Amino acid sequence: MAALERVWALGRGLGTTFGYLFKPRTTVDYPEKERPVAERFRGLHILDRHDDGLEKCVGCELCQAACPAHCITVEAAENAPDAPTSPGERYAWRYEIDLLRCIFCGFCEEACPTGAIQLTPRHDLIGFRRSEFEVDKRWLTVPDPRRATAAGPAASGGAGERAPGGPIAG
Amino acid sequence: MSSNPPAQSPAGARPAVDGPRPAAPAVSPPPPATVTCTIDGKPYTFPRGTLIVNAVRQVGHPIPYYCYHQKLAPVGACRVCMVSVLGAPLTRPGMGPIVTTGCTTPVFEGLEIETMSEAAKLARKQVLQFLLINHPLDCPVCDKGGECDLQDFTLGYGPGVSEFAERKILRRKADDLGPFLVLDQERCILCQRCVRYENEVTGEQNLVLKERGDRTVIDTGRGEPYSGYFSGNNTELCPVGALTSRTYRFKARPWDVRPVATVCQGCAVGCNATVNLRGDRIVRLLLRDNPQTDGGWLCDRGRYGFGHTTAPARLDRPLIKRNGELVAASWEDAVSAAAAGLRQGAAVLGGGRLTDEEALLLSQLVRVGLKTNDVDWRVGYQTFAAPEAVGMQGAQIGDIDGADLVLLCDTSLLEEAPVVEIRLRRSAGRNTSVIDLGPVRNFRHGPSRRIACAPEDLPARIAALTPDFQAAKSPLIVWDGRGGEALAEAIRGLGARVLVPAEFNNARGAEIAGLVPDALPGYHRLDEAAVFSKAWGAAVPSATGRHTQAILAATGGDVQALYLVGANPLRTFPDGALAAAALDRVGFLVVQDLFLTEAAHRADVVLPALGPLEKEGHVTNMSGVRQAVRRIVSGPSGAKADGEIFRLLAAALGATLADVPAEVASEPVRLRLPAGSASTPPGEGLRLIVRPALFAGGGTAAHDPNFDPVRGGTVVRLHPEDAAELQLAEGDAVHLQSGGTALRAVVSKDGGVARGYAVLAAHVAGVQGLGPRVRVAPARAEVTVG
Ligand code: SF4
Ligand code: SF4
Ligand code: SF4
Ligand code: SF4
Ligand code: FES
Repeated sequence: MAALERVWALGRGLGTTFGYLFKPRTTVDYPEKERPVAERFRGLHILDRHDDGLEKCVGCELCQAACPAHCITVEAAENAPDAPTSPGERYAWRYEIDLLRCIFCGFCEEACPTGAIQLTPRHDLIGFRRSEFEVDKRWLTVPDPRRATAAGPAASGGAGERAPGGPIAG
Repeated sequence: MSSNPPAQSPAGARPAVDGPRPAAPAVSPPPPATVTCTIDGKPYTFPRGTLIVNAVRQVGHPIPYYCYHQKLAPVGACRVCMVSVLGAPLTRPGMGPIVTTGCTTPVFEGLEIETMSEAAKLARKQVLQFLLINHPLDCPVCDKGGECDLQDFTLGYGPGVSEFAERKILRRKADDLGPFLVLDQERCILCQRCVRYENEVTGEQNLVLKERGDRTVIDTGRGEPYSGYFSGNNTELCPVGALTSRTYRFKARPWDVRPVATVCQGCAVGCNATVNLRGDRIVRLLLRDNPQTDGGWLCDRGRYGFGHTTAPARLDRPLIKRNGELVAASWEDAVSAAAAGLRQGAAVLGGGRLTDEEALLLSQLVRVGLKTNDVDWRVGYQTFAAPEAVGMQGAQIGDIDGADLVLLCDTSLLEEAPVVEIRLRRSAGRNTSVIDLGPVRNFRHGPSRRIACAPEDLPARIAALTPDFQAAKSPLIVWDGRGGEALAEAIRGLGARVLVPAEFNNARGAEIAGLVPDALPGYHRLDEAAVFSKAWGAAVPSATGRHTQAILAATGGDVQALYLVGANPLRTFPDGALAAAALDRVGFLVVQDLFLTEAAHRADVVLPALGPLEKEGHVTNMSGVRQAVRRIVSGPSGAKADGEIFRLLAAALGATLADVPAEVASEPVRLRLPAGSASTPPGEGLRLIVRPALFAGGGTAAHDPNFDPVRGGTVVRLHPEDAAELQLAEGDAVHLQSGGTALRAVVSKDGGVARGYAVLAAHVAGVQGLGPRVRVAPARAEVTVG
């Protein structure tokens, strides 16, 4: 009797599994296919530029102060008046995020007075070494539109390129 | 750094008044020393004269203020400290409360203060709105962001939005005022703290208000660069980001720095400061008031003199000379090579830049390791550090405040103990008369009686001042110890207390530690050698050693090896020719220093040492105050603290360093002073005198990258008439020739130099090699055709 009950239970369980063969799929073939994310999804960061190619970041360190995970490091320097990196007097010569510590809260984006640091829908955080997740300006900064038209995005060392010390970009 | 010092202890309780009341005087009784008033409905008692702004802060209620500062006189310029007050005579009976400035109104009996009345709130809100009319609102790029009173008070008391939509007035931004100061005129709120500091404290008036109305700006007088030794204090006084430091520019935010208390070792004043570290790098120094030493200010050498901690030129490994080349070596090899070379006939020079503890270790190393008393810290012009050691009565730095007569005996406080000069300027403006004696005018920012005389005439001139000193109630003499016994005797004759600015920051610590040829630690007589031998467990020589001059003269003879500890006699010793000859002659030379100095280039072994901010211990300042110093940064990894090097050397020499005996029962010894020259040097040409200059030399300042902009070239100061006779104009390049040596310099005309003198800065390469007289020739005459 007991044996029969067990076979019945097994059959019922397999039946559930079997039943899914005829239902619509909920998974996608990632990474070949991607599911759209919510409009305000908070994924990997970029450092944006102005239309004239200057970096939006002025190195104010407010994002570093706002970050609850303490994973941002900003160090500022003075712009060369004849070849500025950003508008105004100050720019970030060093900007690093430890993406393994980041909790993608978006506080940095909220704190930023210039809209420089932005969280994008990208979420492909892949790498083989810890150091690959400590990204710096080369990885974060979007391509310079002035240089991108001249020599293509690869030459500008912008986001999307697999810069040394950055995870694989999707 | 908030520029507003914290409020003092709550003054709710009235201070106890003890003892019987004095008998009723004939005149009307003085008003009581305290007054009672109410603040936000509660009664408090304060000393008479307390300003409302301080009273409110003392009881812990918030009040915004910009122009008021505890170290400056109140002015009432910013109008943001508004409070409601009620009480005669400010308001008439029957009248309601009025709004007034808390920083210019003292509390009085029966005054009712309301800090948060609607009227006061509105007044502050409107003032803050006005202050921001032309403000650029560029906090993200402003160095003050995060510690700015304009940010804080606008958030706390200001309006959320401005009613002004007009275009802002644009002004000068990111303007380098001087080597250390950056001005942003747009951010200035015209509180005039900087202007008042330049008026009341330094008296230099480097910063002034220009233009009128909404065009008013802060600027230097005629638009020339800021020149002065106290510019950095402005950056801490300025409540906004208008005046900021060049060295700190964009280096950090207040929330990512770690404050550590320290004592400046730029000179022997020993000003207290707070170091701010970002990670393991020093980004700035801030004030840490100590009324005993700094009186609440720092000089620029102290504030910005931290660049040596990361200077690329720092020595970071020992060097040994092989085939005429200095090559890197391990510490073991270097120490054993040094010990082997020093074993026979060694003498030691230097030590004025060690900590007290290290000086004591060196003193022992000399006695029990090198078995000699040939040791002397005095490798420059200074002949003693502690006035007590040469039979004079010492003074405290603070004694300047109460002195009614101050004699500057051929000594510049400004160049040798800058922050002390601020005290003298302040008291000279009140009730201190200053006598400025010597060949160069040394006191230039205050009233003084100038007596020009040649160095050899100083004793006679001082003796002539006896009546002035007898008439004075608390006279004071400032003498840097240049000269000899004749001058010392004249100064003793005046019977006044003496303040001695030191050539090396811890000269006094070195002297107490016995780094002199005629005394053991604690100024004990050499006769006590037996006591010290017992305590140290090794024989201490009791024969008097030789002083620097004699040691240098005896090199190549029975001084076979020389150990220079943080000393570079080629730059500091007055007889540069002797020093150069001595270092060439000596059989074996060990140099222990932070940088590859001229002396280190000639060394057989170079031992890299850690700097003042890189080791623990104590230092003794010019008036004998001992202060602890801490290790704040680690310094080059291959360098070692001087004390550790002494222990290594002692071990290699087979000696052990122990503690000093606590009790030695002898009278302290009186140090011998050199006789000093009493005659005018013969010969042609201008008489050369070498006087200290703040940024010219010194241990670390000479190599500090932060001072590159101010170091400049070699400058020779001449009386304008002498310059005219030689047909020289300001800025002309000249050759100073003396005997076989010549030095290139730039002319600076200076009416404060007596006629017939040429003045050069001390501790500068090449200066000490010149003789007592120089011929000044235009450099262009040197250019020969062909
Ligand atoms: S998203 Fe949040 S945790 Fe991540 S860097 Fe920004 S502030 Fe830090
Ligand atoms: S990203 Fe924005 S908040 Fe962060 S330093 Fe740059 S400007 Fe400031
Ligand atoms: S520069 Fe600073 S201290 Fe001077 S008036 Fe302006 S705000 Fe005040
Ligand atoms: S006066 Fe001397 S101790 Fe004081 S800050 Fe200047 S250099 Fe340092
Ligand atoms: S602080 Fe009172 S008027 Fe400025």
